[in-house]
Amino acid sequence: MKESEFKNLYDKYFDSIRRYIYYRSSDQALATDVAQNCFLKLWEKKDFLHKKNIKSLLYKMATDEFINHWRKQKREREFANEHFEIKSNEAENENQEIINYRKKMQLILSGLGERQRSVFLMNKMDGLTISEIANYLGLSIKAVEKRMTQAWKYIKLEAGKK
Amino acid sequence: MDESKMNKFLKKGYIKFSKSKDQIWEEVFSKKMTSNKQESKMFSLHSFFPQKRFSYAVAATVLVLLGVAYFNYEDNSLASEEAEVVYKISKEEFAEIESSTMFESLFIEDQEVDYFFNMHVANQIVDE
Repeated sequence: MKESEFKNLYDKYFDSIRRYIYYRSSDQALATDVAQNCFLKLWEKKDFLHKKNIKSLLYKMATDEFINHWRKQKREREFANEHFEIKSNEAENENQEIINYRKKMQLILSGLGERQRSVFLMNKMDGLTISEIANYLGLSIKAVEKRMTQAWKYIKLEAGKK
Repeated sequence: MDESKMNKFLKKGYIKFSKSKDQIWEEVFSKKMTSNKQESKMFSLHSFFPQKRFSYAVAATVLVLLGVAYFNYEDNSLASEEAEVVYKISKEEFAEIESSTMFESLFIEDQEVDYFFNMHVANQIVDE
């Protein structure tokens, strides 16, 4: 793989991988580190890579890296306590209602299980289809649908409470 | 909760990271690429020496083969000279034999033996 090809892959997938880890961990620094490490590993293995399914490979690498990190830091860190943040494109024009809505959503999403949240936000924020998510994460379509349903149930339940 | 409102909110939303992917590229990956290029240059310099050693080895082998071939050639030429000497000697000997009285006597008819003996052999004995 040439440097230019690697740069193309980086430009194309770095943000998606970083967002995916952020959806799971709610930790920006960790998401950046994991995405960075994935691409460093990809560069090291560039001579042995097939161009097909690079995106799936990157998601797999990112998941493994995240799990390893999570295991190491399990005692020190609780991801559930991290505050999940979403910025709005309309931030400058945000009125109080939108600000309140955003805060509410962030709170609900922070409480959502990381597996459900990642699948849910990959679908809602990144616009990936259920089958794409299943393909990238190495899950069955049914498993992804189940996580989506669980996410919806939780969000509706929590929104009703608050 | 209104589902369409939430979808719209999430669709427009984004995650703001402290560093953009371009900044990370500049800080981490562009350095990596530069060092990688330097490594590959170093590697090509190192790889020059084994090639040079290989060419030296080939040159040395050729020299050894030329030396062996030269000495073989010299040995062969000496042997052929020796063979020629042997041949010459034998030729001279043969001429001597041919001209010798003994050899001539082989071709003498029975009735000429007395004449031959008187003419050649008796004269030769007298000469000696």
